[in-house]
Amino acid sequence: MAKEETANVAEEATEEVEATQATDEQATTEADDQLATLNQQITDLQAQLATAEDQALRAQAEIQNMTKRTKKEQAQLLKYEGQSLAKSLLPVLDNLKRALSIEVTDEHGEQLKKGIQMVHDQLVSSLKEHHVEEVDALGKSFDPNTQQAVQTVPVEDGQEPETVVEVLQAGYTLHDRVLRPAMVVVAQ
Amino acid sequence: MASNKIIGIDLGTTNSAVAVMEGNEPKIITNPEGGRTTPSVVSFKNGEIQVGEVAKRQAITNPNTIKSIKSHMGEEGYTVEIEARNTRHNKFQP
Repeated sequence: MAKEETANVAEEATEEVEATQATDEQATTEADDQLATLNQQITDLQAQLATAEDQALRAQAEIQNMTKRTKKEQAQLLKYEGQSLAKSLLPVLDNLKRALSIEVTDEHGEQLKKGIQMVHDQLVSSLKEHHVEEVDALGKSFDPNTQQAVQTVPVEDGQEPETVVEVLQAGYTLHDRVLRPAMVVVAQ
Repeated sequence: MASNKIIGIDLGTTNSAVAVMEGNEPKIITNPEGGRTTPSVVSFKNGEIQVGEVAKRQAITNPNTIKSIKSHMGEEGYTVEIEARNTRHNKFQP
């Protein structure tokens, strides 16, 4: 009888232990699951953080680039301010030059011509003050940076090839920028 | 992964333009002469390559100047032969 009881007690005890073990195992599995989920969350959040940081860096870089570009543009605008006004005055200068090339026969004409010469010189010096200068092309080597070739003629004896033999229309520069290229005839 | 330096090029038959994205807007980049478009011309001279306005201005004096090449795109049998000392090819088929 005692043996049976002991056996029963032993069995119950084992069952209890096994049950506890099972609950323990279940708890461990649940905890493991939770841990795995949290770990995954951490990984996901880290990835999101990395992306967000990267985007922030790129946005910053873009702002810096934009600022640099804007500053550069402003500097250019200031340096070449009046470019369009100067360009529109060039035909005025052209016409004054044409007027000056007219032959005059009487004193009245001479006086008028002198007056036009004064106006022309004033305009030239005013433009020079604002760094608008005429391109010096005649007799020099053809330079496509400041001149546009509209005609070629055969080169004569003693002439260097690629020389500008005629300036059909004067060219002008504003600082280092070409306002209008000179129209030239090149000997080749 | 693509770099953030992205520009858009409009390579036209006569003129080309270049723009960059600023935020969400495209912004045209001006050439050194302040122009918003640049002629689609290239010239080869003395081993040098010149493009744009400069190339256009000396087109008459230089037979090795190529302009409006796009208008010959798809043209059967069209080739261009130029002397360009610093390139491997002397014959182009657009």
